[in-house]
Amino acid sequence: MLRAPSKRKFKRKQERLNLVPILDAVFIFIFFLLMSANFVKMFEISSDVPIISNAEPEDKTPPLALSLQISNTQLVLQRGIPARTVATFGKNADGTYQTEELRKLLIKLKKQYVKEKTIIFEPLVDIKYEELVNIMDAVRTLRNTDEEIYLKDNNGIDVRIKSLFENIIFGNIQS
Amino acid sequence: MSRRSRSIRHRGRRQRIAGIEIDITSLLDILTIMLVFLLQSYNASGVIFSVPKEIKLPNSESINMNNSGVNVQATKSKIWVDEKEVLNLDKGDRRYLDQGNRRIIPLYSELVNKKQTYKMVEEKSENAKPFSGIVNLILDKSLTYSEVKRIMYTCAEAGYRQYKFVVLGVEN
Repeated sequence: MLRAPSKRKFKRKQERLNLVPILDAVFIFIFFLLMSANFVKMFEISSDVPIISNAEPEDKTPPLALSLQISNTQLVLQRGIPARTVATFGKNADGTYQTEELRKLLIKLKKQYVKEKTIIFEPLVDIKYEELVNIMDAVRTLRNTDEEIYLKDNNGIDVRIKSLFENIIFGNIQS
Repeated sequence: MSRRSRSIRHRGRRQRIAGIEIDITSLLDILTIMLVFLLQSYNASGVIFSVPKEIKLPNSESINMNNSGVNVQATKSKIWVDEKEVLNLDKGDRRYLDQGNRRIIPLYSELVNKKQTYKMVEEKSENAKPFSGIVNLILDKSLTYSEVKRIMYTCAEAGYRQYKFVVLGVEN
């Protein structure tokens, strides 16, 4: 059906979106991101300087006092004061330390001592820094595929723990 | 001008030059992809390290963001503090150790200088951040524990309380 002749005159003009300000914003955004982009992803592993204190601990429960001795052939996991050996881990066929086995045991210990975060490293030999970082990864990383461990926060809500013993202290830097 | 175009009958039909329209769809596609890529590689910590080409960082599973602090970069023969070379064994720097070969003298001096500068700024300016005591260790992966230990000992002696080992993230 034809429209009335008067309406034919006024064809509705198609509105076009003005993209210019959006494009301006996108360009500025790109420059900002290019300036702050980090193409090599760098992260950190934290470690505190060991401090000896004579102060009495507030918590009277015996501490876990976890320590890891690194020798040429094995890793020795110790706990308690005085230290007693919990387990030893040798090397794999490719010469790397059995860090996966160590991690499995540490996950079990973490479930018992959920609040504990500290482990003391005592490398007894001159190992490579790269190897040391691998061992540090093993004791501090709790992967998404690992068993979930929860800790109750101040409000009584269960919070999932994201790392094992992340506070690594080198016990023998003075020697 | 031809007679036809000049004629009164055709004066309303003169052709107007149409505005050129560029198809920006493909450009927008590229921009969107670029935005996503840049957003992915955006460094939220705001800390940017310069790593000398001699240094090859070890890989790690860590996902902890970097903190700002004094940067100590080291290879087997060179040590820098905030990119300033303080020790170069290739140039013949000798007698650089004291305290039973545990402390690196030039590194210690530079770290103490840095700490004093931070403290001075902290005293003079209210808005200055307090001295954090953080030292970012950007170390070559071929270093041995005895060399790393020497650097850690020197940092501790200079009054730094926290070491941050800078590592390369592993792609998951």
